[in-house]
Amino acid sequence: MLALVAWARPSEAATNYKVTGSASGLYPGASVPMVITITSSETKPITVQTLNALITSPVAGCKASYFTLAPYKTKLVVKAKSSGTVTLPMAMAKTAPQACVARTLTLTFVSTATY
Amino acid sequence: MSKHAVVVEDGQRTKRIGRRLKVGAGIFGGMMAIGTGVAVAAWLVTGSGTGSVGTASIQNLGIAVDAVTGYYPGLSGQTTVRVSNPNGYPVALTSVNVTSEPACYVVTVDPLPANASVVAGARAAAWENSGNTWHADDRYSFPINISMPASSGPSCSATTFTPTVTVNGQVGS
Repeated sequence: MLALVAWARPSEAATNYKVTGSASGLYPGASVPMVITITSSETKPITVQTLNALITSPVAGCKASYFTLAPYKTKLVVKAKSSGTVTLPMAMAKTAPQACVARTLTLTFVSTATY
Repeated sequence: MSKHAVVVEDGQRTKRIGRRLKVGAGIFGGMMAIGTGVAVAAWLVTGSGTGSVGTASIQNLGIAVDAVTGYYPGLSGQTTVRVSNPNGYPVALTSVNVTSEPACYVVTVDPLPANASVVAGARAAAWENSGNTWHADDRYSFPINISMPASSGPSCSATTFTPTVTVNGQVGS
């Protein structure tokens, strides 16, 4: 019920907060912590409900499917006009090929929050 | 009659009151339900942005081989190969090859054992998996066999030989 009762604010069609994150040193079979920062310009605290990332392949030979960002399960609360962080493991498949060496992948975050 | 009528009237009032109570309770309940909905409602806001993940680079393994000297025809011995891993992660050793110099030195090597498949210094994978810290300057060492054929000629005398060793490895599977 709580999750279902939510309305989009008509005057705020654009995104209301920024999501950024970075990680490095990933290699086949490994997982590294990705620190994701939520920066809110809202005047009230927000509770981040969902957080997903679209991973873009760096090169043709290195598929995005070799990389996985762990699901967001917490409910991060970000204070008004503030920022908060959540850390999610970013994993690289053991079968990732040589084409994935020394590459930079781009992640596009999409998130929803309530307040 | 009047009493009866009053009683009837009271009864009707009772019924009406009862209906009103039920209707009122229903409306109240409905209001409560709506009120509950309003209480838990929340504005939905959205966020977006971009991030990046960098994969590690990879550097070749380092190989050091002890030079061979003092051999004479018919002598067999061993020398040690030390493999170092400059990367910040383990590398599995998949194969090793050696090159002989047939006229003077014959070099052979045994297949790498399974427990040598992970270069985490000279330490076993189990050790690393126990949460110990791996150090990039650790070495994995193994012997190679060297012999000087009995048929070697005088040109092999007083020579120093450094075997050429190639070790292949991989990260992941």
